[in-house]
Amino acid sequence: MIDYMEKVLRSFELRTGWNRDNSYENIMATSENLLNFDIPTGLKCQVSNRSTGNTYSTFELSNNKVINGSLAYIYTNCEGLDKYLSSSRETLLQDASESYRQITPPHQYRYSRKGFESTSLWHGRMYYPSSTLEAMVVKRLNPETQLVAKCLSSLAHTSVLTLYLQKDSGRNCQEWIASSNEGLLGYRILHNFTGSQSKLNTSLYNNSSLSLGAEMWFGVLNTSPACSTTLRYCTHSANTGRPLTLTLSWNPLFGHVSSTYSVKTSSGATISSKYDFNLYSIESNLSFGCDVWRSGVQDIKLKKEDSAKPASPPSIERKAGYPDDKLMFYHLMAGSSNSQKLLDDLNVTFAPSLHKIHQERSNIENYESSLREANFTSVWRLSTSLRDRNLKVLWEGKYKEFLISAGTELTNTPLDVPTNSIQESKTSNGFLRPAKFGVQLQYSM
Amino acid sequence: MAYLPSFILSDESKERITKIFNLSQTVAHYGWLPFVLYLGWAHTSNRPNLFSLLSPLPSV
Repeated sequence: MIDYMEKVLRSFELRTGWNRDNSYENIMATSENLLNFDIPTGLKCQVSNRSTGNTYSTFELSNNKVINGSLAYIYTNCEGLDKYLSSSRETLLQDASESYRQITPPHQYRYSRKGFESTSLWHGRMYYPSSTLEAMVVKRLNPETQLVAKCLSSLAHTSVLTLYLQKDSGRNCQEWIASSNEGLLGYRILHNFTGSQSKLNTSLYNNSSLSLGAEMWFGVLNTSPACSTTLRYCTHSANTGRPLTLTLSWNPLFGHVSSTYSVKTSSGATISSKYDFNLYSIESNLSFGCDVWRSGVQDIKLKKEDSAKPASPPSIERKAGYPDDKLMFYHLMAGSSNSQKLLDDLNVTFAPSLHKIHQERSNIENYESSLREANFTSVWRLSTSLRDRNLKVLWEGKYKEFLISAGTELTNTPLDVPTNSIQESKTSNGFLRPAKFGVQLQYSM
Repeated sequence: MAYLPSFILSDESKERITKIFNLSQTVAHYGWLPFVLYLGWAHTSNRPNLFSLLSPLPSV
């Protein structure tokens, strides 16, 4: 379940036109959401509130052996966040829960840059009783650039300050990172290959995206380098409009290769698989994850509207009123009646391909709108890994005005043995025992 | 006593700098949340009272 404060941050990004999917940090977001989802530990309660127009607050209490708590506040001078934020009673479950990330190709991600205002977001969270402080400032410098400063301050331990300068031009997203932890310096880049409507695809309507990213790190104090590279391909099935994502990542220093395949098999189910392989140690791992959404009563009004729509094939006459539609010969339509014959000829020539584009596009758009409008009430998530021999189960749902997530992780490895020595002291008694169990309650106004 | 170059600080100065650094860190540590709240208070036109700003519980 996405925390309220995280949701405020994401709303801020949406409002200011920042595309969080176009970043190397989130290149594997879909498979991470489906395979490595967080299981709450102990009992956790969160109450969130929008205290004034510009401030948001969250109070959290958790009971994990000892009682812990935290207080968090956000201030932002960005107006109009309420369009993207809703209370826990009104929010849709698909907006409150992390699942398949729908990647919008950069050429379709339109955001008006005319009315850009330099806005900022200030966040602070204090944990009790340890009084550790999390602080963050996000500053939008211009439509393409944002500066993020994060700090973890503790009076008993070392504090860490990290600065991110991010530049997203749509085609490329670059990040320069500097951290006080071991004097870490980093550079991340994500490049999108399909920058136009039809470059790789023969179809005029292109909804796929191919991205290649890389990251390089260097610790100045311990002089240790690190790097990795990842390729991501997202597309939709032309027949059903269902999206799928493939990623392939490689870490040359550790010789680690990892490939993932995630697909939304229906509007209420997603499957993801991941294969890890290490070239040096010849160790491998296969992981599976899936989520199943259960929907409640459908909104009858929406359904009626959908069924009332006529399923007419596209015609040039109808499209002539919409200059936004990307017709190759749109400029020919301006003006005279002499061009009518030409138009008719063109209509005959291009009718099959236009029909194909329309079909493909309407499939994808219908599917996406059905996902947006679905009234899901709960979701089950399962994830397992063959090498770790574990099973993670998580249930998330809405009950009255609360967002609830409850989950457990079952494993048959001994709990008190460090991870490195699990291989040696393998006790394969075949029984899965709960290693973790927790319930989280969220309420927001 | 041997000659010390000007960029090498004496122990006393080092101690003083460490003290100032620690003090500023403590001030920033405990002052951050009040600072974020102050920004919210100062930029809200009707200047809400402190309790409604501090309270994370939803007001009726």
